[in-house]
Amino acid sequence: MNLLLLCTYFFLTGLFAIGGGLAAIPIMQQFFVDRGWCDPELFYNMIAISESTPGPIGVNMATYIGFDSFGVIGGILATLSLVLPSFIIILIIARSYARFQDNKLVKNGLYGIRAAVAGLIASAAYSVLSVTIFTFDKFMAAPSFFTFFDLPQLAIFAVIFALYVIFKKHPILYILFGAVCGIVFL
Amino acid sequence: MFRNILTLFATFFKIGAFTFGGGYAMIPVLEREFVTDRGWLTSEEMLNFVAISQSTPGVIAVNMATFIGYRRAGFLGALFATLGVITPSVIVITIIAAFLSNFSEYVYVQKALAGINIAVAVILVSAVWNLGKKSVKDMIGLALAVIAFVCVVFFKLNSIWVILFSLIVGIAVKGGNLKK
Repeated sequence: MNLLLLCTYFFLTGLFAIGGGLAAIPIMQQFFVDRGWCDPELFYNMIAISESTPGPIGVNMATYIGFDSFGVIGGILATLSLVLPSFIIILIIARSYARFQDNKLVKNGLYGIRAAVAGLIASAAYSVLSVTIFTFDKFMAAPSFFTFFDLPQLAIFAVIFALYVIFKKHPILYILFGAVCGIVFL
Repeated sequence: MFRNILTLFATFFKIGAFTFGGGYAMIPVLEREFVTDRGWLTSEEMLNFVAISQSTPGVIAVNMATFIGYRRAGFLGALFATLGVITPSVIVITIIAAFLSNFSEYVYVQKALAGINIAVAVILVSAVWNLGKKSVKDMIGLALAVIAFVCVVFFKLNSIWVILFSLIVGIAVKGGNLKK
């Protein structure tokens, strides 16, 4: 395996992963784990780290796999290869956006997609709620109000939610505050 | 121009450095930065960019950076916004891969992350409400949002199929009698 092949694989991943970074992971798995480039256990550890560090998961994975194979240069080139296809595609779309934004078909299509995106955001909210304040497995074992929620997490959620709604500060401040709450109370 | 490019790089660097939990958690931060604080975009434009970023290949956060960067400051804007959003990842992951490969096992990391997830949940729950009332304007929109939610959460469908379906429904239902 050489650096050029690594970049080609990441370019293809960036080209075929539609729907965000989570769609990129199965493709990376096919390229790097199934072909014996990357040990499966290391790959899962990389996913865990990519999810627990800031930044898009797909980008984090690319940097990690690239670094693991070819050091700092590998990490940088893998990341650039991953984003290059979408960079080109979005540039083309952005150039023509002004021309097409008043087109009836485009407008109606975007109207439909915008509504679906609201549902997709709700599904992201649901998935993070289900690993934080809800404890479905305990509830299934012994159904009651107290097993449905993780009470300390529910309390933190309620406090942060109230602060968020009342003060309307920058969302990043609440993320930092959440980290502090986690270290102190959880 | 130069100032715009610098702002784009700095803002997307900040987003790359502090956003956890993937592309969706970033949307409220983008809304705050570019719609509320700077007035560079309207809410509807931003939601259009999200819709397009979601339906094209690549990482959503990166697509958004390229799109917003281009609209504000042309090719260089796109380039620096994109570099801005990926630079923190490259730095953080390189350091972790080199020195802290058991990073996610540290107890304080796990605790901080548990707290961060709660904050992300707060941000996403209010985004459903705030962005939902801007993007869901009628019963058809509501139906599309609910279908998207159910398909992804309960049937584990890849979101691209949901997007494609809503695109077709949007065109078919709205057809010729579009209200502004």
